[in-house]
Amino acid sequence: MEKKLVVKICTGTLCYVMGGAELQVIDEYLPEELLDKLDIKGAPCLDHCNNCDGPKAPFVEVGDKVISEATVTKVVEAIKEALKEE
Amino acid sequence: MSSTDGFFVEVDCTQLRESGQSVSGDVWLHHKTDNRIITVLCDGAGSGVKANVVASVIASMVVNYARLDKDVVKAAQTAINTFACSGGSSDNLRKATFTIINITPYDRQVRIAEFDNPRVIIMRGTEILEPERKRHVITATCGASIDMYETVFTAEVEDRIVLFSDGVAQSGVNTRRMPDGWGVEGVRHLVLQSVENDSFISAQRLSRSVVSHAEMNDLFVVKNDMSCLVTYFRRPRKVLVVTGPPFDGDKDKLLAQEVASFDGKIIVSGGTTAQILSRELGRELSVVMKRDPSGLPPASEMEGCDLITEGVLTLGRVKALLETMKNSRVDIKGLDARYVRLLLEGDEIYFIVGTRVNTVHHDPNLPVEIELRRSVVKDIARELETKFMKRVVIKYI
Repeated sequence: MEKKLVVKICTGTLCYVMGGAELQVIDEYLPEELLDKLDIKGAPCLDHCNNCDGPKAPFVEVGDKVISEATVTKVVEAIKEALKEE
Repeated sequence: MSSTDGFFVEVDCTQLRESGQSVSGDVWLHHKTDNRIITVLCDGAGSGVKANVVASVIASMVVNYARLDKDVVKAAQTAINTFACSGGSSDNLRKATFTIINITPYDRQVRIAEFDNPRVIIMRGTEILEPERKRHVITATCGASIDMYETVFTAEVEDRIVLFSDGVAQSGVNTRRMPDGWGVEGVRHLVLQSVENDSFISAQRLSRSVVSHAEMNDLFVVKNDMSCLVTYFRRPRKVLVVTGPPFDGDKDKLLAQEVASFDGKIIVSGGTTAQILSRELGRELSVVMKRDPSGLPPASEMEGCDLITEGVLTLGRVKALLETMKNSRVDIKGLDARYVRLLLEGDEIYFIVGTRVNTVHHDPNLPVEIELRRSVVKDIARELETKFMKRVVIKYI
């Protein structure tokens, strides 16, 4: 089976109040053909908030890449880029 | 409510007021200390504000007498002298009827004093128990005499005392189905049946079922104030709430052990806390990616835990919900409601609060204020103790 690109969305407190609530439903913004190649997961807390200077939440991991101040547009872009590289 | 050596007394009362009235003439007063439970149901004559005022005064008089260890007969006598004889006419004799249940959990002694309310139903498991009932004749200063009955027995686990006002017993009067009303026998039948169907039925559910049935008998237009008070002696139901990572990382193992060995329902509040438990217990943790009706961050799942939520935001909503609740019924949907339901199902609630603080939560530039975990838990505990009469233990780690 083809290996899927893992997208991890942080649902921790800080990410959630900084706009992460919208990211939970990111699958609604993605076309079918992209969805098949993705494994979208939630994470209780990715702990990136404690490892950077100042609040840059919400965080999303697309493959190995960490996206800070994530928005739906930013994440969709990152997904497309990551899939292109593969 | 109280618990002594695995013996727990659950008390709950469901009330409905007469249609069109703004207050109930039935008053339930409950007083609990570590070694004493006094619960009184007082039914003021008539309905509305007047009945409520008389019933409230008599109920608090009786509770205060009982608190001071005064004889219950003496308390009844004073109440009757004060109210029954004031007008001098025999119509005034029964300003209120009341029943007092006095329980000392350490020796399991139960003393019930009944003054003209429908006779209480005492159950041992699924059987009706009929302990000796002593009659006292009370003579008021105006010469009128009234009977009072006293029952003393030693309670066992799975005993129940069901007490109801005459609004329940008389429900359905003058309807085609039951022209003479439901009657004490009718109530007894329903109680027996409910306990047979579910031998662990809670006091809350049993009292609610009796009152709903009475409401139905009255064809949903309640003709007289209805109350049903159930006292249930049982093994305590325990709930554990784990929230926040331990202050010292070395304690993670200890926290996991507490969770693994807990006998009861388990709630985990906090992403990091859930991850610590997942790591220490070697159990897989997965987030349920579904938008919740409450608007709160999504729940997670892990073997052995009944509910896993985000931390402080969820706790804040749980606190707000508990504060606004007028009874123990939760009608809304969502994670906060599920959380509260789980808490209220327990008799003893244990909180293990990790005190490590995530400093980024306290950045003043955040769009919402994130409260301090410790203070939210304290507020929740206070609500559970004072409003819902739970036994709460908080431990910091």
